[in-house]
Amino acid sequence: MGRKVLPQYGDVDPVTGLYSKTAFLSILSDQFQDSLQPFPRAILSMEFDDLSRFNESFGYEIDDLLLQKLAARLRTCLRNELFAKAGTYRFAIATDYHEEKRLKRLAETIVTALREPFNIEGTMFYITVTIGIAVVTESVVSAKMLLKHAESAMKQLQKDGTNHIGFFTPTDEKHLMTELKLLKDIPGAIDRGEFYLLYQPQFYADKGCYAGAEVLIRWQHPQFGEISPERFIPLAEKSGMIVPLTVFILIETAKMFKKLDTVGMRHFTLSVNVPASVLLEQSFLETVAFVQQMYGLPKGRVIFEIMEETIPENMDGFVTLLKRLKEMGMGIAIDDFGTGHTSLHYLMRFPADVLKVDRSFVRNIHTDKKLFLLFRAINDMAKALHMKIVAEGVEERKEAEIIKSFGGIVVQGYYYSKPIDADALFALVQQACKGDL
Amino acid sequence: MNAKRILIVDDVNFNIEFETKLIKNLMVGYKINVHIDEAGSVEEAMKMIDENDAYDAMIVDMNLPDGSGVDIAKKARAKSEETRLAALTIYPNEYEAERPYFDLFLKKPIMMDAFNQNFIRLLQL
Repeated sequence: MGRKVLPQYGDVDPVTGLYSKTAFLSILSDQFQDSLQPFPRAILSMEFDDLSRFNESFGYEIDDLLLQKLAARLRTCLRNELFAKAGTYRFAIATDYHEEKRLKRLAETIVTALREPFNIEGTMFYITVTIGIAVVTESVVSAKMLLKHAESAMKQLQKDGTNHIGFFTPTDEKHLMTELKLLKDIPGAIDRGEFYLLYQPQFYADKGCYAGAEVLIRWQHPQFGEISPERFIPLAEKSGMIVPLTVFILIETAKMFKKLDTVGMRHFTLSVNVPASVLLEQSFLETVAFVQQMYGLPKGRVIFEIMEETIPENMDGFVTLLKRLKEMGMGIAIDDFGTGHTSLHYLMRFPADVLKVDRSFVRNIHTDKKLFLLFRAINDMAKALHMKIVAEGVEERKEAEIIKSFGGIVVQGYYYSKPIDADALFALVQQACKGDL
Repeated sequence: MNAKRILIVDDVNFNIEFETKLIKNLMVGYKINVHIDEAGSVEEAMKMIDENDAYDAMIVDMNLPDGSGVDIAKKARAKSEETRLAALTIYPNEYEAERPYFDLFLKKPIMMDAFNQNFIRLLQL
């Protein structure tokens, strides 16, 4: 196939001795446009499920040995395919097979070969793999694009969690094109006024009044319509746009406080979602201080919500940062509590004011005894640690009644209100709490 | 106290307000008084340049509804060689031909750190 020798491309993975992703793409790019040597015809992208867990549990040395053995076993499944390590736990294979049947058979051979466990220094490791396959079509113009298609198919399989082998399809292609378009459009969307805020009211059950609201960002795209935050927030994080987007939300929130004061909602709180990655930006504290000073963020009424699963494992620097924010008068909430990895030990050190209990502990609390007991335990713990509880996702009257019976809990969810716009929020003035909770 | 006169040209209010506050906040540290004028279009900017003494610096959005930021830059330059000019755009790479008309290109969306550093360069402080 006229492949060039290794040293010309330099880049080799030191652990497995395989080509790196850069070398892999460089070799393929040379051959991609060559009509006499049509290679590759397809790429298989594979990732080993949960391998990072082994690293955490057993350390790098075992990890390296396992990767070496994996590479060696994979090689036994191949003829003369180009084989590379394309990521920490990701491999890529370029082949001149292009019939779906043969490609599938190759992938199945790999899956079968990995069924037998790996014996590393007496410990047996059971490995499963997900393989995405992309075949060259007329619209594929580069090796990089072909690899991206294979990886995209693989990620889709990982998301679905049902099959281990799958092909990149025209639907995937459309999806990928949309993602790329959205990625390109995010930077200008603030300017074009496509982002707007909604507010999810929070109800203080004991007093029967609205205590505050969670600020939600929405994107009305001119071509694709409403894009869900679950879709565009990861894209914003990927493209570095999450920082300006968060600053936009903070500024709009500051402006909202002025309007709330004007209509007489002077105790109303607003909670803003801030990804841990943004908090850890070097200039974040400075930015908050700037918005506070120049736009006005009233002390005691802004709450930064940090999703539990994004809290870094190494908390020292993070805790210091949160303490500084608290000194500035900002409140801290742990969002989606109960779904991430916050251990009780962390919770004791974490300077949070609010625990937002995930909806999965709230839904059906009136029928599920275990949930009820779990919620009660969380409530007792939060009280002992002087944290307030916000229960998310309350949708039924019976759920609301049970939660209310615990006392001192703030609730949000469709039973009380769906997310509403600014005007509808101002209309809650008569039902807004009149003092601090 | 030193004083500077600045013109911000942008059709998005959020940006004008953000830039104004960033500049005012930044200049406190330099003990510089700033007077900031605003224009929302090429036409308004032209009028401001005509009717006022030459500005010390201008920040011009490149995506204005009624024309090109380059026309504003040309007019400002014709009035005074001293005016420092910055273009503001999401896509700085798409404006290679316009580079000679400006002292600096600033990237949108505005990031506080980068904006502050570049504004200091613009004023040559």
